[in-house]
Amino acid sequence: MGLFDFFKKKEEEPSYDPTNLKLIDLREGFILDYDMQSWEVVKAFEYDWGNDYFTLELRLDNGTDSLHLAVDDNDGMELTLTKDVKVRHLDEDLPEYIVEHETAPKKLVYEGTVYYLDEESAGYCKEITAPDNAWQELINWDYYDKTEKKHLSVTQWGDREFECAVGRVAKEFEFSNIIPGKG
Amino acid sequence: MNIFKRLFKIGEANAHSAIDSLEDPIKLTEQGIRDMKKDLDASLHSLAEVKAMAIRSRNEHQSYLNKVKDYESKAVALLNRAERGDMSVDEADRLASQALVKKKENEEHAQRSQADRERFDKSVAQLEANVRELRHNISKWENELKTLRARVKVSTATKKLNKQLAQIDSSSTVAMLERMKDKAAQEEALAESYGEIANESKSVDDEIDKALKDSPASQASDDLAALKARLNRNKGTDL
Repeated sequence: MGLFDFFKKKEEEPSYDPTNLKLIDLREGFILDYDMQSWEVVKAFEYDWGNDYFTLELRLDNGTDSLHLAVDDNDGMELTLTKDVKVRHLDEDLPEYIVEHETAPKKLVYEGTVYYLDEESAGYCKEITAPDNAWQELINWDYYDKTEKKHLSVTQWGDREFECAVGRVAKEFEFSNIIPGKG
Repeated sequence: MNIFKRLFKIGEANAHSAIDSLEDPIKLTEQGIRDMKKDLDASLHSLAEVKAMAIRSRNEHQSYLNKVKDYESKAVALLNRAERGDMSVDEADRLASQALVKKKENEEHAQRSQADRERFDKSVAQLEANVRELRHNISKWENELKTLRARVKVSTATKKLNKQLAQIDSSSTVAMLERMKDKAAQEEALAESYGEIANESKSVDDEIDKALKDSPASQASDDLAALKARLNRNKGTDL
């Protein structure tokens, strides 16, 4: 270190420890290993469910496939790994049902598995890097199968826009080698 | 060496000595580890960029392979149409050969993206080796820091203890107690001096009175005279 290095403009310290990166540190541009492959975080979203309850959602891409990784670190680490499914493929009458009843059905069946409604949550979502006025309102319905290992979610944006994702509950040890990108 | 050079050397030596005395080994080791973590962060960023490029080249490679298959099946479909008489053979041949040209182009792109991917994979392996080395060094120095902290604690405590035992520390308890002992001795000496001065300030008469009053011999003679007087009076009474 030279004497005049002291006067250099101090660089901003990263918000994570580079020797101990965790899933909660993941941001756009980060890379992680899952299922013997490297995945890039192409988008990072944060969800505000009220009462200081925030969760993280990451869109992962390995070049041929895309996944959603939801990270809830509020009361122990809870992870779900899902893929997009067209709402009409899940249930062709689902949007109409939700609009008519103002809630989702208690049960949904997809590819022979019965999913039971676990929780209805209303909140806000935005891309992490987006400004504070970019929050979008949403309602989310979480479903699990009997074993509570399979997961399905239905999300309503605005009046008639619906998204659906199906997958499974994941464990922290399945993800490794987290590398920080430009973010 | 001329005089100015020698003077400069003296100044330089003193400046180095002053800076050496300011160096705190723990703080400097902590700073060193922070600097190494910054280097690690930068290396990780480079690694992430190369890995991201490898992922994209895999994506590109896959999409070129899909196009290769697509153009090949289109060429086959065109020839089949001509065979069925749905279109002229010349037109089918022209379009099929164009499709095959496109297929060839995409094969070349696929090969290039495959080569890119292999190159990126090599770079990833190299960068990962650097990152491993940096992580190893950081972990080694973090352990060194723990040992250093313990050593400094022990040496500070030992130094303090030895200073107290050697009574060379003016601020130590022993030195304070010594000062208190001196102070008490000074007070005693002062009291004694005041006593002496008080004795010296008495008048000659006072001294005589005191000598007479306090003398046990004079008291005895007084007592004797009183006894004699009493005996004489008794004698007179008996007569």
